[in-house]
Amino acid sequence: MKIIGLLGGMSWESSALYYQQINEGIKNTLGGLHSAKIAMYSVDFSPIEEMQHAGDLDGLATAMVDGAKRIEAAGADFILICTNTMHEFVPQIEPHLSIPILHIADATASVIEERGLKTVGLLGTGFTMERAFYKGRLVDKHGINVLTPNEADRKIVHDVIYNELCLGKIDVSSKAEYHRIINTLADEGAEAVILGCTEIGMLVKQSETDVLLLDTTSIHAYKAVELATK
Amino acid sequence: MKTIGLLGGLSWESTAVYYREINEGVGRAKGGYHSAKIILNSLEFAGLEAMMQAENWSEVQKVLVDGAKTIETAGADFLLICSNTMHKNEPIIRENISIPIIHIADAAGSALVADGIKKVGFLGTTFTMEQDFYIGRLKEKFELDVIVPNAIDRRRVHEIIDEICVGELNENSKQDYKRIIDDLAQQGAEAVILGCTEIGILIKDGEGVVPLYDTTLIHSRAAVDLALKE
Repeated sequence: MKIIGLLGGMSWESSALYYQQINEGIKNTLGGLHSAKIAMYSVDFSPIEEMQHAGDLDGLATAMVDGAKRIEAAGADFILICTNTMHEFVPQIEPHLSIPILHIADATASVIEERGLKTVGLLGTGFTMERAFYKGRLVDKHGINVLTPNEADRKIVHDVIYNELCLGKIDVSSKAEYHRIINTLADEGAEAVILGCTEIGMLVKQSETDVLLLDTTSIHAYKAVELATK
Repeated sequence: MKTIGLLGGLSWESTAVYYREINEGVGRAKGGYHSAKIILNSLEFAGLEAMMQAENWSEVQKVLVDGAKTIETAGADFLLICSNTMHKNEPIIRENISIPIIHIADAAGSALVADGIKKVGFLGTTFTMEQDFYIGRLKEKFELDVIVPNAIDRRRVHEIIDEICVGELNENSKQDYKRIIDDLAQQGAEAVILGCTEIGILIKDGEGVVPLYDTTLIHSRAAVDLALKE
């Protein structure tokens, strides 16, 4: 079994979900008392959030490279960055590593392709919904048609992530807003909606909607289990 | 803030509690988006369990020492072994790394002494209840009078831990724990140490006739205190 590297703490609540789902996945695959071999570096999120807020991309890249190198030093065979947003820095991190990164957009795309879907909606932080590193990768590398909410709704989605979910708050009215936005994307032709931020799965659940939800945390964790046990 | 090293996966269910408690502790102390800096090496439990059952302690020691060394290499400032039972191997791990270890019995002993407790019951795996590496330390270093259940109940306590390790939480097992805690209290125990990191998943402080000292929580708090100390 391979050692799974996790670059986490962004936020720690979603890293806890990765840790749980990967261990449960290994138990389901191998049975008994089996558990995953994991090397995790979990950062203090506060300075990261400050750099995100200030748009300090160099500082963020440096922090991500530092974390990834520690994980490689701890013996990991491959790395998962446990947040969609920070995948922006994959190009800067990769040259410093000799082990591969399991990209969350590639993991998600493989599930979209397996299900034969063509058009999907995408919810995430502003960065994820608007910048090329995630949406662009789905479109250009995988040929998937990606819809995002309008500007006002993107702001709602982003603000709920930072002001509530990252602080562990679950709000009923935010949940209703998310469902409204999910339904709008479905009306516009999305066959499924990607929960493209590791926190969103804490707020909206598949059991609450008829629209197919692709929870990137679960997908990413599931692909890690597959790769570790292959 | 110091970086906390966690040697975990022993089992992963209790490591998940450590991860949550430590992050919540740092969040409470520092506020905002702050979370703990953690390096976690989560080991594969099935192999270790088999070695323990076969009493092949030299192999167990090798796996634990290697695991601790990688945590040091990755940059942790101090180490927690996230299991009471595995503290049997604490001396050899300590010899092989240069960062300090917070011994779980010291965290528990300090908490009991601070609360003015003199006589305490102890529940854990049979290894921990029947050997001297843990209870001896509580007696000698903290001058505590430590009592354990009778042989039949010790076996029952251990069996239930095995259930919890595979995620089974049974109501009749919880009732057995309550009965055994009652017995210890009748023999004069002013409190009972939950001296296996899994036990607190099934029964919590407030559910016994005397206060229950959950070593997972106490150990996590000690880590937060040390990480935040200037």
